[in-house]
Amino acid sequence: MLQKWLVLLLLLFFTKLSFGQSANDKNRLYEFLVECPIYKCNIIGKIIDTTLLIAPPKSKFMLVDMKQDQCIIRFTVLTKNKSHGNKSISMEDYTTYSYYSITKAQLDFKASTVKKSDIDLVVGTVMTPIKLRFNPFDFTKDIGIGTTFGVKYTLNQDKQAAIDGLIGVGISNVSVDSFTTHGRTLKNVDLMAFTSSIGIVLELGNAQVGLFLGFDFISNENQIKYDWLYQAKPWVSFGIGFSMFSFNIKKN
Amino acid sequence: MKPLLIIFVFIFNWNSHNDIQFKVSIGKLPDCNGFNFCSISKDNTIQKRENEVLAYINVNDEKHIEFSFIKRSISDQLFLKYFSTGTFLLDEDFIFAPEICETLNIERCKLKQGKYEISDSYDKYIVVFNY
Repeated sequence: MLQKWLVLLLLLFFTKLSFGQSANDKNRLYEFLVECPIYKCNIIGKIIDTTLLIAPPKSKFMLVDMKQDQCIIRFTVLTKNKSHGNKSISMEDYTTYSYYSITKAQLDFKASTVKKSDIDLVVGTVMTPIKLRFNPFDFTKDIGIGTTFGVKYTLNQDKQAAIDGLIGVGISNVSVDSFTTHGRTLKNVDLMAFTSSIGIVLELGNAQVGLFLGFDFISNENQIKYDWLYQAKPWVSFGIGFSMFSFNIKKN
Repeated sequence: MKPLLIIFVFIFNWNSHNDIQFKVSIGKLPDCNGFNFCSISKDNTIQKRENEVLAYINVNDEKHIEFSFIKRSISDQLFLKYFSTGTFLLDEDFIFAPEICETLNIERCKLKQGKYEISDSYDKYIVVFNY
């Protein structure tokens, strides 16, 4: 039974992962990270002006077409403030578009995709190595692992600072002993438990620190057998270092 | 008849106010090469220099002035340097010439330095400055 659960969780994780990657591939909005030489061309990529132009860092552009080693791009101004009417891309005057040519190598090494909103969906795995249990207070090394999903809000993109709100489900390994079972067992017994949790993770660069609140549920059979003291009671855990995968939510 | 006349005069004044086109020289004195305005004039002749664009200027309220830069009047170099990042940089306060101030009917003739978001509006790029 537990093996089935683990397989299901792994399948769920990888299904979400592949969805995230396909969503990313469709993102055609880029930003130059450093200045880049460009040439003016028409929409089919023919250079119409040999004057060397330089695109500045942080300039945003759409990838219009790609032909072997050539990329045809056009610059776009992202509008956050909608007070001036509808600024969706389809409402732009396409007759004012100018197209530019860059190489595929320049696209790969001098540009990165642009996030369209500060909110991402996140999915991944979270480990909770230590759990603090209350009433009576106890701390255990009941290792839990499971799928976690939620939303990530980017506080500062330059500093890579973000805060995640997460909901998790998974399987935990809980140790029960005579103290936590009212003497039903005299030796330590490891049991599997279903775990649900909510948490907040603060991300700063590659560092991730999280605080989780959750509940462990051992099976009915085991609960009748052991009368586990912490069945369905809350625990708190601090976690450091998570494996999270995120994909962007486009704002309408 | 009188109300109609008043409405006509109002509409005419409103339109004429919004239709004033300015020639804006982007850059910074003395060589017009920085991030500011070199000059703003009411001259809207088609002939213009490399760093000049045409724009409508409207006073939104007592704190904000809206510049609507006409896309077709912006050269590639100017677009790349000043508009492509989505932020218009005014590296120090810009002071309007007295006649422009008079035309716009504003008392404080100074745009405050800062980074201003550029909005894309069909055939114009719109920047709302604080003054």
